[in-house]
Amino acid sequence: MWKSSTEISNSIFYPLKIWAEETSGNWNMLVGSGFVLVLLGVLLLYVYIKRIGKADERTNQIYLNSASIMLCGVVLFDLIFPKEYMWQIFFLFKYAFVFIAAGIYLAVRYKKELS
Amino acid sequence: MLTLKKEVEDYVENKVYEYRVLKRMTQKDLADAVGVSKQTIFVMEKNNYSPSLILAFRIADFFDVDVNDIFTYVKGSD
Repeated sequence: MWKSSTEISNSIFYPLKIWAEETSGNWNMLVGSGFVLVLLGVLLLYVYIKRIGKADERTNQIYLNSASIMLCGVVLFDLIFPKEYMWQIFFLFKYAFVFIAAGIYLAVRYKKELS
Repeated sequence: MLTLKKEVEDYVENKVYEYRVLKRMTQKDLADAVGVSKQTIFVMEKNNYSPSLILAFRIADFFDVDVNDIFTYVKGSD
């Protein structure tokens, strides 16, 4: 039978909840890695926005594409991540992943244009 | 053997670099004069970016030449 999206997300993320709540060390590791990923994503975005340059007809198009990647990521992760437990942690990871995805897109465009 | 034909899109070739060097300008000077980023002038000079009509006319107007003297339309392979 078909499983609902909640069941699927529970089957993926419930073991993570069990692991995180085992010890405070595990919980801190999860929160810490979330913060590191957010910082990494913000740094990646900042560096490549600086490298690509100020807003003009070329860069506006690139920034628009990266923003649409972020929007799609936010919607996708809102669907995937559970809302019943640890939502603050998944909120952190959601933004970390979309920042990194947008940063990677900018990096790829930058490398492509330089080649 | 199966070979994939690489499609090349239409693009605009330009002589922005030549005109800019003739005027002894930096990429930043030209970028400021035509209202775009330095990086846009850089990728345009490498022929990796085809400018919009407005930008092409703005650059031609800045160098005081016809737009066809700087920009050439190159038809890609289908």
